[in-house]
Amino acid sequence: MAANPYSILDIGKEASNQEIIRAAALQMRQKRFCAKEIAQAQKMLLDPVSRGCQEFLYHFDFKGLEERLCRPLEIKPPEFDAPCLTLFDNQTHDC
Amino acid sequence: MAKKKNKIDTLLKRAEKLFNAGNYIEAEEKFLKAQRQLNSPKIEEKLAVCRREANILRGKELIARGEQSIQANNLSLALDCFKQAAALVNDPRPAERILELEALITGRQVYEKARSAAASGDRAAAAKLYEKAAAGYLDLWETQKDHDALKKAAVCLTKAGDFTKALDLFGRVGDFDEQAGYHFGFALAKTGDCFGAMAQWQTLDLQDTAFSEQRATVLENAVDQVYRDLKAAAGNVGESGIEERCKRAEEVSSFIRPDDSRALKERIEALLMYAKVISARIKWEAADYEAVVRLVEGLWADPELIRLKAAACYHISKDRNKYLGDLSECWMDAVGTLDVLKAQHLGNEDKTIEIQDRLIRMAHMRINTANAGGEKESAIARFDIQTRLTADLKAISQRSGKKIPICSSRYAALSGRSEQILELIRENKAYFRDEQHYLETGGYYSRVGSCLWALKTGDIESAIKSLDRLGTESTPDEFTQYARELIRFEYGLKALESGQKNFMDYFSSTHLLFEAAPAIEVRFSDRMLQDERDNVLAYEALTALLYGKRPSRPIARARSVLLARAAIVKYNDDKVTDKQFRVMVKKALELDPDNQFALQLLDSTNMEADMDVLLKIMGKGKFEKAAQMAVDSEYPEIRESFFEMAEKIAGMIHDQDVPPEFIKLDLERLKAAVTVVDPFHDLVDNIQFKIKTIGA
Repeated sequence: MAANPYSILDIGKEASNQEIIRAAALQMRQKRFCAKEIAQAQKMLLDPVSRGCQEFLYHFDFKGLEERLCRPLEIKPPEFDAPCLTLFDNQTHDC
Repeated sequence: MAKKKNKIDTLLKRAEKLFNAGNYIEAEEKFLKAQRQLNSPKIEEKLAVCRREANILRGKELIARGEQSIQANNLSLALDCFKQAAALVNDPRPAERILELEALITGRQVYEKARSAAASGDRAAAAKLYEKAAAGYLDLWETQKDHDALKKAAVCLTKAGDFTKALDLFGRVGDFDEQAGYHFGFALAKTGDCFGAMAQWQTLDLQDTAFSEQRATVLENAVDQVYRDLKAAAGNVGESGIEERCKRAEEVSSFIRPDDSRALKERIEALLMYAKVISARIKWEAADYEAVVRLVEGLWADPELIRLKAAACYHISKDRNKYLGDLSECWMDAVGTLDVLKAQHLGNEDKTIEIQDRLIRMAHMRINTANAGGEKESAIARFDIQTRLTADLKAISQRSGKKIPICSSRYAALSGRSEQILELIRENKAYFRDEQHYLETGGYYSRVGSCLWALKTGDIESAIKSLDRLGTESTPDEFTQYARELIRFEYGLKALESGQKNFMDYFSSTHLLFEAAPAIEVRFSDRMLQDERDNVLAYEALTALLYGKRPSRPIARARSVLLARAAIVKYNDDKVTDKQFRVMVKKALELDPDNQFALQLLDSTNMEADMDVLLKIMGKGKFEKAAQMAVDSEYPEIRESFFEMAEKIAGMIHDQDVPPEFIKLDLERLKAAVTVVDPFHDLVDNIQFKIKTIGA
């Protein structure tokens, strides 16, 4: 199993097939990865089922997840406006 | 006159004695009496010393009494003592104490006035008076460096509402008692540092409703502060202090108490989860997948979290033989989340099922191609079970037309769906191929599901330990009952094999398991029939117990074989006689008349018994009877033994030291007996030859 194909091709989750092909050609020229890896990455992302699997493995909607988890925390608590308690006023060695 | 002089001398002697003993107060009294009569300058000198020393003693006594009065909180008496002492001794301490006490008394008076003003609702007047009291304590702190006065000043300033100044003073206080701790926390909360306030209040153990309410509000605000701070940092790319802020979230969670409200606890849990997810995002971006798994472990609140863990496990297991167990546990749940997520994230909605199938194959391959050892075997078992369970739940869902949450038993338990799934399994009992299939599927989702998982993935020790921890309920459901008995049964067999003395305890209700799942009973019986095994006597005892509670055909067969084998073991160890041995074998045959092993055993036993009889009667010279026995016997071995013995006896008769006519007679009898069995046997001619030799 190769590494993250999106990273190899340096493309985002929404890239179209045309963008994938263009990105693969660009990477071939830049030679940051070997030709086999680039070809494999391109193949993976051009096949819809394989691409779905790669999305499953590499793309997470952290923003949406964080927003969902934030919801219960967004409610502002009541302000602290209570008076100072006289709880200790009768203690020995009192003020 | 002489008498009077003697009296004065005696008085002076006593005075001197007291003086020398340091009892200046009484010595002064005696010297004073003598001086009145003698008016001597020497006595006057002594009197001066006595007066000075007595004052010192009285002063010390007053200082001690003054300190005691402070301890007893009687400040005015203490002040009086120190004032008297100051007049008697040349010591700076009473003067210092007088200043301190005057300030304290004034402070207290002002404080009491402030309290009265506060109680009557005149807050402005109260604040001014508290400030005045604080000023007095501060003076005392300045002059005496009394930390207690510093604390009191800070408390008074808090009460006066001057929180900034109060915090400045609290910052210089070394040790905090409850009063100072409360007021410090209060001042912090009032200036907006609710986290700091909670840190101060954390150690206060106060059973006071008003304080509990204040604490709850401050804690809620502390959570809010930590959350907003974290959120702001998380929104800034490259924010370096995120880890520190996440740590704060953990710290704020440590403030929670068991009696805090559920809403507050949930808020803190939500904050912790949020902090973990932010940390997980940072670790994910840095490809630190192990840290991601650690962070999201146990978080199931959102489908993305399950997928995140599964993907992280998948990536880790690529190069290392690790996290296979976690992968096998959460993968099917993660794949299941695609049903929920497809519309939101995955672009290929129509391909979802194909993607799911491919993902399952990918994980299957990853687990199966991992290096042997470690978690591999249990991961394979777990993944296979998960796959089966998912397939069954999907089939039930389709069959019943009900949309059910298809998830692992762990996820079901964490998300409170176990009962819903169990109910659906019950409703669709007809779907399952047999009772065992039905019970086992439900068993994974039952109360003891985690124990069943442990058993099925090869960790029988932890299965039984978890089972013991969970305890037994009076009326368990059928799935719990099944899983429990299965674990006890399997562990019992292990205990038997390892020689544990109490192994029988685990089989006390195995008959219920066999009733519910006869296939397990048959498998057990087949195992008993197939192989030669150690611990035959223990297995025999076990089958006796099982047969007693459930006299089924499979158990009867197993018991029959083990009883026959146990008979041999006991016979060889001289624990049973021939007769007892035969009784045991016959009992084995009663249990299973088709027990070939017992049949053979009985057969050979019978032949040996016949052989014994043959030897006995031949030895007694009853050749005709022996011959008849050889003819009648169904065993060829008896005939062969007859001829062997007859040959030996012929030789013995021939060599006897008796008159020839007796030898001849015996040989004729033997020859006749041999002829009855086989007239053409070589031994007939052989004996005839011996007879002729004697005749010659």
